[in-house]
Amino acid sequence: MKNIFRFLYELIIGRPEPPMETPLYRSEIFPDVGGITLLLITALMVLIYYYVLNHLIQTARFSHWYHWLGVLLVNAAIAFGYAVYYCRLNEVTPDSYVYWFAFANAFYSAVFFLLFSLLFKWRSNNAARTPF
Amino acid sequence: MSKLFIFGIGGTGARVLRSFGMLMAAGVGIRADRVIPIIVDPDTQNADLNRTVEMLKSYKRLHAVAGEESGFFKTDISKLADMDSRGDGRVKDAFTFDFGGINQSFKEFIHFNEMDPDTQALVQLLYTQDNLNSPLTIGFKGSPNVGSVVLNKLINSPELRFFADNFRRGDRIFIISSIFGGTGAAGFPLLLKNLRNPNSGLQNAGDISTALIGAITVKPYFGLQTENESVIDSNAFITKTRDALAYYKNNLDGINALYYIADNPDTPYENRPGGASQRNDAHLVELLAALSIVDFMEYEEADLSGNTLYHEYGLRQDSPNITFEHLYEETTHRIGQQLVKFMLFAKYYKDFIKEDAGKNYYKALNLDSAFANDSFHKELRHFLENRQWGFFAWLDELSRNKRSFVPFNLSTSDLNLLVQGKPVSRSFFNKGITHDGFVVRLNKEEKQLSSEANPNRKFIKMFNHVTEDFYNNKMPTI
Amino acid sequence: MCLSACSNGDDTSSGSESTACGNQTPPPLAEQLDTVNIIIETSGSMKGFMPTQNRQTAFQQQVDDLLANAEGDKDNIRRLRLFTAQNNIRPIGYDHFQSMLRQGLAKAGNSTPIPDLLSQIASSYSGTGQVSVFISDFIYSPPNERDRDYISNDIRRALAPLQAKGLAVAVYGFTSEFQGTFYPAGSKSGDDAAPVTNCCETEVPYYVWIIGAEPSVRLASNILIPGNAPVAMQAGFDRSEPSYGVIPGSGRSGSWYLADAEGKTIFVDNTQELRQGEVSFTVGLNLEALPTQYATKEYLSEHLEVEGRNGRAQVQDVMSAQAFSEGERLNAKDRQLLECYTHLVKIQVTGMGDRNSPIALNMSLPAQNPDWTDAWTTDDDRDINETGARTFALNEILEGLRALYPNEREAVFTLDLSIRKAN
Repeated sequence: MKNIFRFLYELIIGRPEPPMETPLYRSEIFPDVGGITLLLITALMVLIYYYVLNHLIQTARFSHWYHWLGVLLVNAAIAFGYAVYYCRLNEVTPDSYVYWFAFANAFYSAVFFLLFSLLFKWRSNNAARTPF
Repeated sequence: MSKLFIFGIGGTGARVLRSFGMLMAAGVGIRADRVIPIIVDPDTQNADLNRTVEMLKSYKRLHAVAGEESGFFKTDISKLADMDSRGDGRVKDAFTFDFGGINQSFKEFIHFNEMDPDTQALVQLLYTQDNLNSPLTIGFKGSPNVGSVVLNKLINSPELRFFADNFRRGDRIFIISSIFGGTGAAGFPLLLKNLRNPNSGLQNAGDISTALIGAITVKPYFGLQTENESVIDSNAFITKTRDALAYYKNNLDGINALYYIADNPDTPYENRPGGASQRNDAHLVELLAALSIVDFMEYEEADLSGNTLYHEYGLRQDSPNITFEHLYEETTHRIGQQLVKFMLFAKYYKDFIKEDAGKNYYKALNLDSAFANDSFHKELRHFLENRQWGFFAWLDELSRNKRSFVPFNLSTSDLNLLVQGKPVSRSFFNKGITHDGFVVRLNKEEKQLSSEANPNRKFIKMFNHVTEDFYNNKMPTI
Repeated sequence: MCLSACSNGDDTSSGSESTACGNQTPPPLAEQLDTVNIIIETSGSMKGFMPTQNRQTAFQQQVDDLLANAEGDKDNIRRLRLFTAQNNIRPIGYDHFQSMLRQGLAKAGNSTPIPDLLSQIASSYSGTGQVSVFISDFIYSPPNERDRDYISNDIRRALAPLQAKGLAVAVYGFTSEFQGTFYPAGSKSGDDAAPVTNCCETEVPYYVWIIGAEPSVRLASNILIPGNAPVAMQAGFDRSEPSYGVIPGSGRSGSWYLADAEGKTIFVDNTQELRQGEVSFTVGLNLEALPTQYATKEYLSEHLEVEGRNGRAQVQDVMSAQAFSEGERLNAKDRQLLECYTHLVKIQVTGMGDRNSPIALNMSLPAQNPDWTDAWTTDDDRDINETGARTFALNEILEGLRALYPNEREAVFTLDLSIRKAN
């Protein structure tokens, strides 16, 4: 799992900067932030979108693609914020890399959101065909 | 179960069949496998007849898609020609009788000029000059004496023979006619007499002569504006009715159930003797008359085998504007639920569904493309919205007629107020029947009906289930 | 959007690495000193340090300070004994010692060769619970001309008992004005020397030797010479490997990172950087417990060696912790860690062999005479005013002292680091 997240993040933002933080990023921040935002929170948001907003509360009002996109963007914002927050929590050396990382995380959160959507949407009552 | 042959005679027959078709579209149940309406009217230009025929054709196409399990359009209404499994085209593929080639005057029809003078004199005694000279193509214009002669020809028509070929023991016959008109008043006893004759020379004459036959005789329910030029005088309706009833009393044998219905004429109709201009607004009486067909089929064979059963219809409460509240429970029970459901469906289809692009069920059924390309939806829209013969036109006519039938609030866009006098109760937590609620339930149904492969049939089933849910759980009891 | 917010947070952070240097063992320090013997040489050559004239010399001042420090710390020093050393070591009363020091050395005794005095101290004034403080100018003129080549061995022999007893010696060098007759030792080439009267225009060195067990020597040095002496050297201290580790974030180049908090293994993702000499890093060393002569920037700069297996590296710079903190662009996270170290060594990797094998780096410091001795020693002290503040054959004397201890022939420390490709 660690290596998967490391691969994903470093694929688009390269090696951690400053290099001294490499172990911190690779063994703590990447897996923790990835696990929590990309897997946990994103899955939760997808579940909320498909099974709360579009299932439990009896309304079909939120089934449009732009609602889906809205939740995706909120999720991306959370992913961005959490990445920055977690870096600060771990007292990582301030560097623009933190923000690149946060951007990458937001980007992947969108990708994972889409993947989870494809996985979960079918059983949703009102959004089984959202976004498509 | 079995087949039901309905003979709709004259303009009234066509109009009753029109209402009957609407009830069937709404999914009102009838205990018959198949209904075969046969419209008997020599006036093929009659606008009422044409509207009914168009409606029935459309119904037939929609039923072909909906099948028998979809709630709406579930009853099989066929043309006589559909019985023709051999397809040799012995009868015209239509709901109507082919009176082919009677574009002549009554005088010519009976070969008046070739009669000897004595006979001519007798004929002139029985028929006015108008009777003799008027063309038959526009019917008998309230002249049963003409009709009875012409219609006697019916017995030799290929249609009737074809009907007889396909008649099976257990099938029933129902005859709709008006007592005060021309075609109907003349045709009904004539038809009955021929059907009951075991020696008529028709195939299965024995079975036919013992078949269960019901009939409704529509007594006057509208008046006509008095026009000096017109051949029809509504002032004579009552007189004619009285005479006819007297005749029926003594000569009408072999009917198992006979229904009577009448109303006090209020606003007279425009006086149109026939042809394309005979186009009268639908009337409550026709709707109730159509109910007699359903009622007739409810009876078991044993119940009908004794003496003739006579039925009349009464309102629970007199009112110039009839709603569900003014009807007895038996009626509302029979048609209320299905009419409300169909109305919800029709209303939603007309006013709301276009806004659902992007909703789950809409995408699942690919409705954008279906609306544009699928003939089912074109047909359905036609059936509901055609200005001449569509469902909404029918409701509209019913509501503006005197007496008016206004079960629905036709102008509202609030589904909760759709049923006149029975608003859906609402609260902060319960918004009643909303567009959104509709979508939610449609989405759900769409998923639950995943086994239904035909998207159009699924579409109808979805709406049937959803409207039924609303009817049972949201609507106040009608 | 919160770029500044992020960097603000880190400055105030109290590091989670407060335990980073927790495993370092502090230098051994005695709890108490049983007996302190202060032995001051009072031969004629010492008279110039304690002139009878009015002017006080630095010697008088400094030795009085030393005495006062000894007297003042009754908690740590239970017994203080005073001695003079002429041809013999004799106890002397406090008042007498005091007046001798302050009023001047009225009556100087005969000169006794330094090895004899050292020998007496080593055998009689050292032992359990004792610390001897020997104050002398350490001008040793072997009676025999030929013996001048054997100074170092003379000293070693004299001190031999110390090695048996496991005792250590700390040497502190001072200089002082000298007023009187200077008795030079002569020259290595054997020329005799005549006393120089009315000396001297230059200051003259003298030395305080503290002899005892290592913990006692450390404590005595702390008490008696709290301000640092100009020069110092210890011999006979136990060798313990100094704590060390690579500083992760400062004084570095290249994209390497540490394998763990220990800081002994460096990971690189890209070995190309190693080949191209783009990798440099800084190792922190805590040399607190080391003999002071080895823990100077100068000594380290000159003698510290780095050897690599499967790679080459060189020492780029040696800095004190303070200089490093002030000079380098520090990563805030390193600040805490830097407090664990007294010195920083910057090392550059200049080459690599097999890219799939680790580079093993070995950093070692050879033990040699302190580098200040060259400035304090001379082969010919006959013209002291010209030579300056130097002591005849000090090099040999100190070499003799160091030769006493076998571990002085070994490297002061040998530290291992490894650089490997991250998997």
